[in-house]
Amino acid sequence: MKKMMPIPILQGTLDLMILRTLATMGPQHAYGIANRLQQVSEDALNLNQGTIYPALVRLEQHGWTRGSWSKTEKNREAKYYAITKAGLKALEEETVRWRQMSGVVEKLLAEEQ
Amino acid sequence: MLSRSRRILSRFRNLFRNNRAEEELAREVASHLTLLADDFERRGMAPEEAQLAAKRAYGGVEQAKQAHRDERSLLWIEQTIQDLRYALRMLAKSPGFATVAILTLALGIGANTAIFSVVDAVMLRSVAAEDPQRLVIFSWSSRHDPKLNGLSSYGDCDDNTRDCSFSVPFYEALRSHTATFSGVMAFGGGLDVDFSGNGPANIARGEFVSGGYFSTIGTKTIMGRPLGLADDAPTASPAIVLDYSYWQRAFGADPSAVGRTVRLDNVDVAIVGVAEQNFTSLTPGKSQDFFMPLSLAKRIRGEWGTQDRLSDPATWWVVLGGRLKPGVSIGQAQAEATTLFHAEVLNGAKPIFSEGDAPTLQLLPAREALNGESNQIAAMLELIMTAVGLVLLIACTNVAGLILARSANRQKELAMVASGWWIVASDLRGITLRNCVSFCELPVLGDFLATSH
Repeated sequence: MKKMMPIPILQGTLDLMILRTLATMGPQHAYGIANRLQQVSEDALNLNQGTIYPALVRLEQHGWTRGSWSKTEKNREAKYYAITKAGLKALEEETVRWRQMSGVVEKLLAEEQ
Repeated sequence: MLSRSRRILSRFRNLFRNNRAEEELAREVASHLTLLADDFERRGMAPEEAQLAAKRAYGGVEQAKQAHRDERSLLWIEQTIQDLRYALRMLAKSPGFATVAILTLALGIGANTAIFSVVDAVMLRSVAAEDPQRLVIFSWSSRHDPKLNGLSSYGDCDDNTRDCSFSVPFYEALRSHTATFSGVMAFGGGLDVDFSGNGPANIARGEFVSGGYFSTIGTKTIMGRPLGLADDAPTASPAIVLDYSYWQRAFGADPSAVGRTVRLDNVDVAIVGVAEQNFTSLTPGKSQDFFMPLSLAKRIRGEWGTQDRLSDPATWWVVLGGRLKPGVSIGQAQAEATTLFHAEVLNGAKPIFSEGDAPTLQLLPAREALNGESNQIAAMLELIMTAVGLVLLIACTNVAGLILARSANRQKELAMVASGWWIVASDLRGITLRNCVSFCELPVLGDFLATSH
């Protein structure tokens, strides 16, 4: 099989992915989040690690995450993001919306074939 | 909806907290790179190699930061500019309304600005001295009038219960005996004198000041030197310092004025300096054209009579001031000065008071003591200020009425956009901004009206 070309991130999906990651794994720093996304996608995502920063700002401004500084196990300082109650609610809504959306797209694509 | 308004709020905050956000971002990016590099090292890379690999994996650091910044604040500014444009467009669309509203408010604000600048100059401005808290002015009161050859005051203190004129000999006693003041000074005037040697002769107003005047107040010269203690000596060659605005007015701000010799009445004096611009007089509302040393009082008599006012202890005409030494309270200084005062006026060669007169000396902070003539006009100024304040209030009410009447016309427009809270909110912001725009033009106009009086 040909090696898959990395796919660019679909507009608006990064926020959802980050929220999901935080909900599953608990508080994470930016590097942890980026790592997790890369692992899950099996490197299929074309993700520069710096790309997630605007999304992190957005989420924090919405009040869906809260950032605070602390130490990693190896005693490095890092800003940890935790999902808030409002964030959990938003995650639920966004998940539903995404399922609907991708369902529609899937259906359309299936009919075309 | 809630999170949306939260987001706007936080962007707004970010406009003001940009530095902190920037710092935090740099810190976060650095920490991210460190964590990445740590991982690469664990996979067996050399430290430098790991750092390079981390940077590669991260992507452009600057791009990431810029994206972060954009996300933080861009949208808000864009929308504000949009609304501002809209506001200006709507104003231009109804020039009649705009003119009436602007003129109405301009009139109100102009009147307020004009009156307030007077109130500020006379009543509010603090004494033009360095560290004015430690600058005190002497005043006295007594049960009966003193036996004096002359008592003059020049409108520095206005108070019926106390007087702040003293004799020059008392000033000298104070200067040579004080342990509580780092500097003392005396001044009196202004006196109108013939001023010649600079174009046609004219009348100029001079203030007699002792050598310690400039150093005690903390006033400097922008050119040449201030008057100093040496100028107090009767043998010193006569010197004067010009007031800044007189130097501008009468000498055309000519730097060569310093060093020139002019004639005051019949005395040749040298101009040795020009006082700094922001100092006109210690007493609010007073001004003079130049400062001359006390020692000249002997030769430039002005309207004065027979007594030598430099040596006569019964001719009281100068205001005394002093700067408290660090750590000395006004009470300590007053106790010391009272002793000297009693020695002078009760037990001097020529007693001014008898014991029964109960002469007392009081030291007051300069701001409090030197009220000039403000007491007399304060009441009137307050009345005028209130009146113009009411005028502005009425103007505002009128404009508010106009806006209300116009908004009635816009009801349809508003109803159209009432479909979503957000849109209404943005429209309201548009309306508010438009009103703000009219208000922003006003201070400019107000200033214009005020200065053209």
